[in-house]
Amino acid sequence: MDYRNQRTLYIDPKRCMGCRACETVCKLENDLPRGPRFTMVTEIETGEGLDEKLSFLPIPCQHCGDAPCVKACPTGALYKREDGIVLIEKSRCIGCHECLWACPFGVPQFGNDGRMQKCTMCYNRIDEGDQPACAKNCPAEAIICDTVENVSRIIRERYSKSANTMSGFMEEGK
Amino acid sequence: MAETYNPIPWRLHEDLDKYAVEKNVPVWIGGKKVIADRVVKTCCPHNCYDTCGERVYIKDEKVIKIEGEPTHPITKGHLCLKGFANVPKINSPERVKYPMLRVGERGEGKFKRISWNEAMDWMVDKIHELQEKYGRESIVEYAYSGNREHLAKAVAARLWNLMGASKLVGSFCLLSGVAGSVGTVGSQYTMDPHIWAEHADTIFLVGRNCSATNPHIFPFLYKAKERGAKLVVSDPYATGVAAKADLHLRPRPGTDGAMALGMIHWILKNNLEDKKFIEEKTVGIEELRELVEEWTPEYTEEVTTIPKEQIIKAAELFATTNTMFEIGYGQQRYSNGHQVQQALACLAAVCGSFGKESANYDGISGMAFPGVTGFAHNAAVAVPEGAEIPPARMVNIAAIAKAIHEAKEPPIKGVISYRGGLISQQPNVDYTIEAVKSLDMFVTIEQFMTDDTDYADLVLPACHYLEQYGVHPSYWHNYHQILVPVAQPPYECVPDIEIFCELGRRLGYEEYFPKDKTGLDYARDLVGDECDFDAIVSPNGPARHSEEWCPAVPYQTFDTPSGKFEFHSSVLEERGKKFPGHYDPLPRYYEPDESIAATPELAKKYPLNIISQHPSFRTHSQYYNLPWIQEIEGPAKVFMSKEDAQSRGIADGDKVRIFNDRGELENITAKVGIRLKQGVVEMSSGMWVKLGGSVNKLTKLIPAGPRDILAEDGILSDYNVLLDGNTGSYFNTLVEIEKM
Amino acid sequence: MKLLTFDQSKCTNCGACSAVCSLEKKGVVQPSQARIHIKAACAENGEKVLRASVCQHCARPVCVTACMKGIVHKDPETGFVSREKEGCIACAACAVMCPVGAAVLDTDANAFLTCDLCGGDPACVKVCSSGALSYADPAEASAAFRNSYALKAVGRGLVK
Repeated sequence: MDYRNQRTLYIDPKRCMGCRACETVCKLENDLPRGPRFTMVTEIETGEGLDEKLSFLPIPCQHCGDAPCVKACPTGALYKREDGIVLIEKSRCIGCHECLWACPFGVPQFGNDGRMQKCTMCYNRIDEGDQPACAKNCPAEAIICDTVENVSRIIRERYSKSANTMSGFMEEGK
Repeated sequence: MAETYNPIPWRLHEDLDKYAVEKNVPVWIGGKKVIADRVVKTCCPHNCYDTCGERVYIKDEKVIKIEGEPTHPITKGHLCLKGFANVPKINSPERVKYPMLRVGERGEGKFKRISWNEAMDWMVDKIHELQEKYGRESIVEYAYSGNREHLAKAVAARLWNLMGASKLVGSFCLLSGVAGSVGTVGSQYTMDPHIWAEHADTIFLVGRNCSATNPHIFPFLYKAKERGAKLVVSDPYATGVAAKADLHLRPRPGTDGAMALGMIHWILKNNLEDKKFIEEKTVGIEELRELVEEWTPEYTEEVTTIPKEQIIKAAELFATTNTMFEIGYGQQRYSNGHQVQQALACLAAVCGSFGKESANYDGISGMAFPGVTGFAHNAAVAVPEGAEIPPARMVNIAAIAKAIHEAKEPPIKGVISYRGGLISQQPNVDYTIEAVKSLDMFVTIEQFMTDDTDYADLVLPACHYLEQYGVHPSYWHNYHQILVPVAQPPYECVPDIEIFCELGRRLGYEEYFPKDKTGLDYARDLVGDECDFDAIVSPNGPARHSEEWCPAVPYQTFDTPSGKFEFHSSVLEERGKKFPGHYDPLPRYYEPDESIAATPELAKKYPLNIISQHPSFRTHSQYYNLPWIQEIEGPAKVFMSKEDAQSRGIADGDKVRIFNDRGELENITAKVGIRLKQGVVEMSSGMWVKLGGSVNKLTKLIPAGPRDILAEDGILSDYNVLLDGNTGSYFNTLVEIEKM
Repeated sequence: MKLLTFDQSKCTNCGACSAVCSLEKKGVVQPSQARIHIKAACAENGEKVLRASVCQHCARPVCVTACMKGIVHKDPETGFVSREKEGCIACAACAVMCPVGAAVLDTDANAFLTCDLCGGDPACVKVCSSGALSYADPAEASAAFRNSYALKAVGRGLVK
């Protein structure tokens, strides 16, 4: 696989402001009940004194290039598409949770039927030329769904203009 | 046995297909393509800045999906987390489905099902009984912003006018700030965000947690930042938007007004003010100069706890760069709320932040009160032509519980409530519950069984906003979309205006409530010819308000008596001569009602100042009961500083008790971290009393000014909504916390 | 249902879980007889990977269908996978089929046995000093992993 052309779901932590719209648009898109959270926004507090800051990081699925979940799955239910999206063939899943223990990000969810489900990068929408629901809806425009190469280019362009102004960084007197 | 729902004979069922943008549209749901019968455009009428354009997919008269309206220039096809939660909300099996009459005691929440005919008969009998026994003014509505659109209130007012019921006036969330702003600036406007995003050098956000209540501002904030603009945020609480700030000022709660005076002091002392603007467009600068004399950086730091270096840095930034002031409402939820706004407006004026693409002032748009400013012709709907309208007293919603307790000649004995959580949202829950218990009639029109329905005599099944007409201009941006029903109401739910129209007919006012008049007809009457109405009804819309109502770059002029910005507010001064309260023409700082500085003895017992933000998860008390939201929000939490936790032996995740003389909360999860400074704790507002997390068990009923409405028991015969206030002072509440 | 959740980033492979499991179930410390084993493997890129070999109470347990005597059952209400006390002929079909190697031949019972979560108070969780093992449902585990990853990614090591 040529990993540069792999699709990825990139979330810019500089832009994410913790509104959690992605959590419910994803639930609606995937018709999920309470329970499985295909994307989840984490809140992290860092720093001391005047350096204190709140940060947000939504974690859907990383659709890893070298996916540990795919390797851990004993039945071959988990697989990676040509374009990089990691999907599960539910009929093959026995609900053994190995993918959950293998995933460094805790992505796999287990629904009422005990089988694994997770973020699919809305591949059905992508196949129609549309964007994943979370990316399309994000009010802060923090989510980009594109190939790794394109995402890298977009981020570089975005921040080359404002390298010293975007980071919430004051020169002196803070 | 399956439940059946009976058709309501007088309910209007219109052809909703006429609002379709498109028909037979395929849409993805759960990985499968479903064909929606129609897609309809509407907007969200909740009490938030964004008033998002929405696109709703309907199948078999059920809402199956919702998206942001992609053609909306401000909300750009995006929705907040609540937007999508509307689908499980409107389809919730827990919706109130039919009228119910209380069978137990008030507070037990025990009801029996009755028919709409029986419900109407009950109301008519009760109303006649109260009118005979006490008088027609013994009845008053309770309505607020659960669905903030203005049409239903106007139609209801038509009925209250005919009945001669008491009139509900005022607000309890922002009018104190409005008074401070109108008193100095005059009529209120907002400048569309794409203008300042392109031109401003600094953006100053005060009391505004955009990630929770204004997420659609972010693309504009980021655009400005990419151009090199700086973001300064003032908020005691470390919020999502504060995390993006170049400078986050953390004033002691209630001292933003002092902070503003300190900044004005520094700017004037160092000759940094916009002299041209002050010379040409303001009056009263010398009095302001004298007022701020004592507000040295040292003194300001002492009062606000903001390090003086930060005060100076911010002041210089605002004065020497083009600064856009985007003022929220958090900073005025203290008993000194109108002073805060007055001081901030003066700060903006000293910096010349009015009337420019690069530097302007945004407190609220006059479109927030379309009936007051004239865009909505309230009288065209509320005053039936040819009818004899008896005079009626006004009851200020910010003191409703006091009014119910104290009103005489006549006492308030009957309340019909819709679109507002009287018990969960008013301060001092126990005091409010006692008031409700003293009523002879308490009717609630509700979507779910809430805190309020527990105490109701009659519960009527309400419609979701997606099932109703509405006129709801945004109070932040200048784009408008008329709300239309996207689907027929389910079960026996009835739109609010149809309830009032039928009640009106049954009370003998048939000629004023024609049977075939639709919500759209009423909406046309309300808006009149202020805009091209059809251009903003689905499938059309949204459209920008006219330049006349919403100038692109407002505040070139001021419609104050002097025609200028008034550092010394002549209208507040005049008003203060006639009414009790705190009508200081200058923004003189004074401590909020309860604080470590104002009430040191009380603070010995209760040293922690609890503030209560509006979180992203809910709009006030709505959405709280939905499974998605409960899962995402988690259990009730109180955020506190590491110092306060340590000195109380509280670790992150411990269950705590929060209490003061007014009430207590138990089993709240302590979250120990960086979000608050020592002495301040935070717990989200809007959690339900019966689910154990209502901060209003602790808050005090002490509405902010300028007018002292408590002195009048909330009963008024002369009231100016733009100058008298009031705001509920939720945030000046002292508590103590201990581990369970 | 609640399970033994395993955070491999915290596991030090100290062996305490196996030791206390055998102690709890058999009265002696005999790690080979424990119903939980931490297995280390080397990935292609040389990185060490740890897994907890312990019954997962799978949604569709292969041991149930594999068992020649039909004595393995999944409770339709609780999801708990259990074995009848009598009847095991030690054919090892379940051990061979189990994708995580959770079935252990107990030398006293002469039967294949699996983790029964100690009736709801798992001993291994209590003894795990690094917090790698916990007793939670997969949703809680997922949220905990996500938060823990975010802390590392965004916290930039500033967290104490």
